[in-house]
Amino acid sequence: MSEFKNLKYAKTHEWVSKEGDLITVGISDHAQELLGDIVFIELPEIGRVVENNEPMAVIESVKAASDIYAPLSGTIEAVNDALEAEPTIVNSSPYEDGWLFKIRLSADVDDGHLVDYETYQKDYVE
Amino acid sequence: MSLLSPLNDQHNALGATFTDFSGWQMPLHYGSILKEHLHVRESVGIFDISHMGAVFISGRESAVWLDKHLANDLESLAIEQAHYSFLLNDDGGVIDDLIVYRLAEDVFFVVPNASGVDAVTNHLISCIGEADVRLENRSGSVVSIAVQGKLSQTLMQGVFPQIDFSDLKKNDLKLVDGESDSLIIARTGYTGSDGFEIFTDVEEGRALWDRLINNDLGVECHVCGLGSRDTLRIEAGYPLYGNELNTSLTPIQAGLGFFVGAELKQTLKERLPENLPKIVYFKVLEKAPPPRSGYEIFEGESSIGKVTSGCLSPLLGEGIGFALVNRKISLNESEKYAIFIRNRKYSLMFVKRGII
Repeated sequence: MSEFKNLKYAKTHEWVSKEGDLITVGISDHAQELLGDIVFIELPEIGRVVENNEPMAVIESVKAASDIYAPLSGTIEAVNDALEAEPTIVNSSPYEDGWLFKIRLSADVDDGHLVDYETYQKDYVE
Repeated sequence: MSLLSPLNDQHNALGATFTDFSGWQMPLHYGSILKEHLHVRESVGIFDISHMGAVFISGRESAVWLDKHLANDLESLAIEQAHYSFLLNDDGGVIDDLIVYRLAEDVFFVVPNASGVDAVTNHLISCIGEADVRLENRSGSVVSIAVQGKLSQTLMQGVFPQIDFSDLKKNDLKLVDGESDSLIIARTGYTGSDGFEIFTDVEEGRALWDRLINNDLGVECHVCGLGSRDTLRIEAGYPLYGNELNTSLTPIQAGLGFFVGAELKQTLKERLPENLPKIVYFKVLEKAPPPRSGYEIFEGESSIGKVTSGCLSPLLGEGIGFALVNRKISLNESEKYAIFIRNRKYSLMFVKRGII
């Protein structure tokens, strides 16, 4: 498992890992557990420009469909194609193989609304 | 405050995730709806269905009386057999769907839905009048366990060695003596796989639940929640009250005329010759998100109805479900119909109900 304790989190349960102006986004272990078995994932098109907090992907479990929000503004650079055939990867490996998409950030993006792991656990999980 | 199953402590110990169902806190799953579903199809699973109603009806006139007030033909129900039936309102709409178990010539056990217990008992009590009929509502104090799946007979045979299950056919039942209460064991179920349903008192039921799980037969008995019960019944093509059945649809509209006595069926058919709107069963023909209740169904550019229940079949991975449509449809047409999900249409075919 990657260092999920070093990731940043949105209150809508996405995690963000940042390398320069490229971020990788997934959902937290807590979120995948709440959803249960994931049976379908709709990912955004590559090249799509997304705004912070815009719903741009959908994760469907047996019981419900849930929106996934862009944690920061930018352009979709990659999506995890493996999830189309095997969406349960998000259940089994939410921080590594189950990543959802990568966003090339717009210039001067403010990530002040993202929180660290401890704050996420304290404010949005427990 | 939710009602709790007599098996609630056992569910907690098994790590259940709960859901509220018709006022009851019941297990949704014990870890994975998909795995529980597949265990039933491939081996055997047990479900606590103690939220279902439990109403005993007896008395010299009970058979004639029940025949008058329930939709299915009670004359054809032999002793130690069960059948599916309905309680209808004056318009032929379904107040509830239920299973009637005939325990003796004049003793019946009726199982309505949790949501229908009050409506069914109130309605039936108001119909007793001078008839020699006694109704006893024991809902909530009966433990009901469904043992379902390919290996259910093996499991049952091991747990009840004194009974020969090989001659217990579908819809047959047996009354069996237990430690503190007798048990009704019927070859009935709601999953489409082979299976049994057992009804008994709280003490007997708690012990039985543990015996099924901890059997020493080498049969892995999986505990299953209402999540998989729902996907299993959708695969089997069985309706759920509130989704495919309600007070404004007749059983004929729901596609369940088979379970209505001949005379009543004729009356209902004459009253609504077009039989619309009606419940139909579909299969999505492309890779698509799970079809869910409320999604619209199209024929060309016109919306012809809405999904009432649906899921991605855990067995096949295809979208399946029921829809309420307001015009005549044709079966097995692969290029005529579509389901609208979020922002696009996916092609769909109406088929005979059930995929297993």
